[in-house]
Amino acid sequence: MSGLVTLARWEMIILLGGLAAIVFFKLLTGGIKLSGLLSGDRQDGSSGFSPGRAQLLVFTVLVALNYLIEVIHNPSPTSLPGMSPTIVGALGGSQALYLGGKAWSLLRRNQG
Amino acid sequence: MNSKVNGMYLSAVVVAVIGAIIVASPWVPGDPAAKLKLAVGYALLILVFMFGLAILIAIVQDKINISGLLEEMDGGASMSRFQLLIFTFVIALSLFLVVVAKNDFPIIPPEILTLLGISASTYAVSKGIQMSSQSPALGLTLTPTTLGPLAGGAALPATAFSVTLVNAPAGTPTPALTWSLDAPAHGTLTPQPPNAAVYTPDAAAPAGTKVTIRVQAAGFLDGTAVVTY
Repeated sequence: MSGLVTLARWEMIILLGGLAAIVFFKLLTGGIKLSGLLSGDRQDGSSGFSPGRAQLLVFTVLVALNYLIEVIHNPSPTSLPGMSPTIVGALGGSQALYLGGKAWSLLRRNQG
Repeated sequence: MNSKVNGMYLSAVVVAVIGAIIVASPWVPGDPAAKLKLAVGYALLILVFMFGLAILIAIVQDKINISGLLEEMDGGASMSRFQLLIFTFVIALSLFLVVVAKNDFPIIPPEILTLLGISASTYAVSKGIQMSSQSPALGLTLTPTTLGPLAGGAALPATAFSVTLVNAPAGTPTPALTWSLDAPAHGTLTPQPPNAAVYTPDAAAPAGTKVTIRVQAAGFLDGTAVVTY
């Protein structure tokens, strides 16, 4: 049975790791387009740098990295590490800010 | 390409079956019931691995195109898709690391489910905002939309059809219109610029005949009206 478990472990390492590596490689080499990631719509209909998107990117990367580090140092034998409600709330606020900015720019554009 | 893909799947099944036969073979010691469980387990693992590998290879070779994974309809990358991608990978990878370390499925804390929920909801709401920002399609409508039933056999009066622009901002000039009949034998259509045409019915058209008048313009959805005899 241990052989089966070892095989399953290596299989998932290859498949999940492979998928992550391919997506990451394509992100780096332009195979998956990232142009315009930080650009938002302005009131006049043109596009430019969006602070709302930038703050969401920073929050996302920080929270994701923080959680990965916590998992690597996971002290619990039975569960994934939890996350502070403050961090979840902050991330929710960040996402709400991004969505609010997007909705506001749409509203202003429609009024203008 | 299909034959190559089928060959790959076929070879995956063959390898899985061979693996199962080897595990279940009489020269491998052990209880037959346990060996059967192991054989099925190995066969499924091999099958899943080969199918997964085939998908990864297809992605690498661009037979499965993921270049638009983060793309919005306007061509730019989407921040909401990007954050959903990052959180999905991080949670999946974390779950895998914990399962590998403990050999058991861990309890998932509610904060993590909330995090994934927030992330996915942001994507959904962003999509909704984007869809609502799309301008409605421009179109043409004809007035009247129907005519008839017309009684054949006698001289029938000509009828004018006029065009109205739909979803166009006030003051939009009438575009160049192209008028047509789907049954040119039944009547004639005389354009009256800028926005009308006169239809002269066919007095000899049999009862039950239907003729569709169509008006077209570049960038607008067609307008139609139906004449019934």
